Amino acid sequence: MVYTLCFILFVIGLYGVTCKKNIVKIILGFLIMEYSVNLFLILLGWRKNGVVPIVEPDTVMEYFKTMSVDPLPQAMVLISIVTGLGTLILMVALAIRLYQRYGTFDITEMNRLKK
Amino acid sequence: MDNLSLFIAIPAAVAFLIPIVSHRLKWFPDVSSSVITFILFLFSLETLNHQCIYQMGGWPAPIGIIFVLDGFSSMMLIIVNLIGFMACLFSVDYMEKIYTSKLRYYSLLLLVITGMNGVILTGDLFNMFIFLEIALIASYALVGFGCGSKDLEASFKYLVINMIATYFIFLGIALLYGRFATLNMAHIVTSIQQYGTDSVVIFAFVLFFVGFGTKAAIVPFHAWVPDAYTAAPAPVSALLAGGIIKSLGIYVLMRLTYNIFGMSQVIANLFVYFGIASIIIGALMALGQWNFKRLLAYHSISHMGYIILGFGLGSPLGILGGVFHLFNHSLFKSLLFFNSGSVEYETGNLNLRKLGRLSEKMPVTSVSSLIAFFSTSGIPPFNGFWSKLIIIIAAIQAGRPFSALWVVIGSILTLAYFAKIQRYVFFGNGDEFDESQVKDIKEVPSLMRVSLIILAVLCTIGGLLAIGGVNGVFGPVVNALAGGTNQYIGEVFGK
Amino acid sequence: MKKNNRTGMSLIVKNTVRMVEGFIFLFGIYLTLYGHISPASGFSGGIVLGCVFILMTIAFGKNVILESFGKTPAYIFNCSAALLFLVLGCCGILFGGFFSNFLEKIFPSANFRLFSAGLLPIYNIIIAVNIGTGLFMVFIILAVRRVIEIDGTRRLISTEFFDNFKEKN
Repeated sequence: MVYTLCFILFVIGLYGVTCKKNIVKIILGFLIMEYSVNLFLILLGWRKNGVVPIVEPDTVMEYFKTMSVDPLPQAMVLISIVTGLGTLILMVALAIRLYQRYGTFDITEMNRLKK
Repeated sequence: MDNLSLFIAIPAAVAFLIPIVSHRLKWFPDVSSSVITFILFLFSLETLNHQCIYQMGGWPAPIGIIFVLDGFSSMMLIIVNLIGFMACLFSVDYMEKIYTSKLRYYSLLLLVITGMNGVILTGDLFNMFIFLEIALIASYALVGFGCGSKDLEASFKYLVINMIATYFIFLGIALLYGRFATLNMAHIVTSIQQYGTDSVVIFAFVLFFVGFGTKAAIVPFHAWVPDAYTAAPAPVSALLAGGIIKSLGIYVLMRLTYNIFGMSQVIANLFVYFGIASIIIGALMALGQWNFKRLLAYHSISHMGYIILGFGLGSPLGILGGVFHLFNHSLFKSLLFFNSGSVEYETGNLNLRKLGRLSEKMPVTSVSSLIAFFSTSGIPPFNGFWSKLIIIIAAIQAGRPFSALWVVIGSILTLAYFAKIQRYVFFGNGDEFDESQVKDIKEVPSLMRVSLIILAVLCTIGGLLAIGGVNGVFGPVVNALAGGTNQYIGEVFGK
Repeated sequence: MKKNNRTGMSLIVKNTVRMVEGFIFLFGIYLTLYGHISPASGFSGGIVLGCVFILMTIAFGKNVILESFGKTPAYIFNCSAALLFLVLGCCGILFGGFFSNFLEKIFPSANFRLFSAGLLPIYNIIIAVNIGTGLFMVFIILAVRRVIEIDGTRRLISTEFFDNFKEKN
């Protein structure tokens, strides 16, 4: 059920990217898409009343296997946040340069390639 | 060449070294990037007919990240590093005249090569996503490198479409991880064999098809191609057409289809129909273009259709045709983009209507573009003819005579629009042609000439290769793909 | 460090930043050094370090920070940190694999100590330097642009950063 919410969030982001005409709204749409996938990954690793995934000498392995939180999605999300930061910076820089050239954030007015 | 990590470490190290050193040594970016890509090309030649596994940090396969080298990946490594070397050689004079900041350019170019090598070698889905991001972020910056209004617009369009595709891929990886709790590709194969194909796997495959299909420029997802190719500097266009859409798009798509999800009749039909659509729509759109590079971009879409069609036939002969055409296409396509770069370098102009009579002034460019024209439109004995012939024979053998017919029609259309280029640029002249423009035009500088000549010679040799040794060179590739999922598991886990 | 009173924000902000900046910097270093044994890493530590510079840029004005730190040192720090990371990874080739943790193999240590986990704290420090300088550079490049009005039309005026390409169109 919670996973469905992630997909709804993803589709909202997709709607923002494809249907909005303002560059800033497009960038926000990308952020929503990225965070929905990150949320999905974090929810995959989540367990109710979970324990830290570190094996110590006195850990009961049967309990550990059912209750430990999956650490791999957290590492993946951290990496995807870093790449998302890089892409976000590039997008913002492009948006600023585009505003400098065209004087607007509206993508429908950026049609010099077609002429 | 067992140490596969050097394919990633060397170009990345030089990419980070260039900004530090180049403030003092002005010659460093030119020399180092050309030398390093040449060394990488030699390394990749050494991987031919060689299979090995490299474990990152010494961790074995299902736990750690591994690099897998088989026939298909070694062939892609050769293609990518060859095109990278040619692009670096060509950039020395080209970037000097048209752009200024060489330092950032070479740094980004080497990062793109790093990312592509990583995507080709890796055997781990999430690691592949990271290398994909490295190559793509660097290429967004390279496409908009001129910082003019058109460059920025093309770069933003390229970025938006490819970012949507990237997040589709990321969602697919997350779904597969949620289903099988592993990221290693071979381990995913064993899990699929154990638990069967269910709706999650099918949904993930659809997401992957859309994502990598966007990067491979198949027709419904091709909108970024013409703008990005037109706006980018010519060596970057060559690298985009010869390297990025093949290694990030076709290579990963074929690896996933043949070695991970397994080829089936439905997927074969999907590939064949999308391939035919790409061939015909790309060729028809190319006929009406008046910009040199934009025409080449639509031509690229059309030829990606041939490759997808060849792979989608599913038989070993079809795979052979697809791989051979992939190899040939990266050669003659980068040659054509270098030609357009030479024309732009000398005349400062890419509009076909305003160009003309360059064949006497620029003989090397003219002859090499003629060779590329013959190979791309399938005139014997050049290489394009043989690969198209193999695809047609494979299509008839696979019981799809209509797709063979569409291949022939696409080939005739290719002949038509390349005759247009030859007529308007090199032998005849356009409507708005001005005689005074071409008076003081000379041949391009020697380094640019060298890369044109090398690629032209390779195109000719590729044709001769087809007669004798095509199975010897491309046999390992066909084996790697046609072996299917079980062979991939055997390679990785060493059974 | 020259802290000119005429640029930047008001005196209260400047004095507060002057008092707080050292502690925030220390917190960033703490996050970095304890990254391998507690929930933090070089990335989060580096973000905090970069935020200190951003805070100082906002409080004291861009000239002060550019004179004292500048973009070229940031550029060189960033690239050499990345290079050092890669060189350490390549050193691992001699000991069994790319990015192999060879220091742990040579000097095995108990878990959950400050000097443990071999190469990981060193990697964390390198990443912190890389991310901190990178974030600072990005902020400078993106923020040192001003929108001003010329003849009724709004225009972006940029400084010298990334403006050395020839105009293509």
